[in-house]
Amino acid sequence: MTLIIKALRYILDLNVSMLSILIQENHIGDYSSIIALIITVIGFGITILQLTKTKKASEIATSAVNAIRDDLKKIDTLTSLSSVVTEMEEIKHLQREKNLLKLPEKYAKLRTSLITIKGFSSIFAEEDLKIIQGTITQLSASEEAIDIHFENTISSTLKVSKLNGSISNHIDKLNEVLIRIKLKIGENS
Amino acid sequence: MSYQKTADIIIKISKKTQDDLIEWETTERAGKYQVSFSNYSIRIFKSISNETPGDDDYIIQVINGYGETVEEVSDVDIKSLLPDAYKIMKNTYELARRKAMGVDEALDSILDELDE
Repeated sequence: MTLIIKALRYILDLNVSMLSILIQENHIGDYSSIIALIITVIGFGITILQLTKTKKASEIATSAVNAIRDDLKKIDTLTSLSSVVTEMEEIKHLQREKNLLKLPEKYAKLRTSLITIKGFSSIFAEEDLKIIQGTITQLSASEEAIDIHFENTISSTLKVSKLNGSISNHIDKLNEVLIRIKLKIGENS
Repeated sequence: MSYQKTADIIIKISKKTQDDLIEWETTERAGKYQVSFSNYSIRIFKSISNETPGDDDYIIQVINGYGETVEEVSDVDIKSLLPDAYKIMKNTYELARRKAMGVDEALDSILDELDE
């Protein structure tokens, strides 16, 4: 303590020679080097700690963004699949009314929508993919059946009850897929 | 053209159908049944035989992810590779029909109620 007071007094008096003697006699230069080294090491440690915290925060932020992106993808798929189900209901209505002319186009459009939806395969469980594949196959076969019916009406064995029964069966299964996707929304956040 | 892979699929489908491990479903046509996997579907049906009138041919179709038929073979097409093709495909067809129509479930339910 006395040493510090002496040093301060020499500094205030601008007595450089006495200050120099004081530093040399008491090896203050050596101590200050050690202290500087310690401060540098502590500073470096604090910097590393801050960087680690920043990295963790960045990782958490990235993970949150990915979870939101996944949820948006699921919501988008849910909307598209719901539209498909609604249009399949409309197809049943057209078939009951024997309004067959518009059907091939509608079947083809739905099939294309389902092929696109199936492209988001990361969202779906294997069971869901099987259901979607089954519906694609069914829509394609129904489209072909209607086309054959137009080509050869006399020998056509087209039955509205079978067409609608099959569509209803697939609507039920697609509704199960919709429920499973709904349950998955928000599970990663 | 070799149908070896198709023959292998027919054998495996037949085995899995017997073990009740695959879900056959009805289609837009009576007497035509389908089962789907992640990227492909299989359809089975019978048609009047050209070779032996009064008899049926059993036909398997493979449908891709776009709904297109990529392979169609009858028991007649593959009998050189699979001598029991007719028997295997007929049995698979019958089991597929029972499964798709829910025949066993219906019979079990009736038996349960009769036993009460």
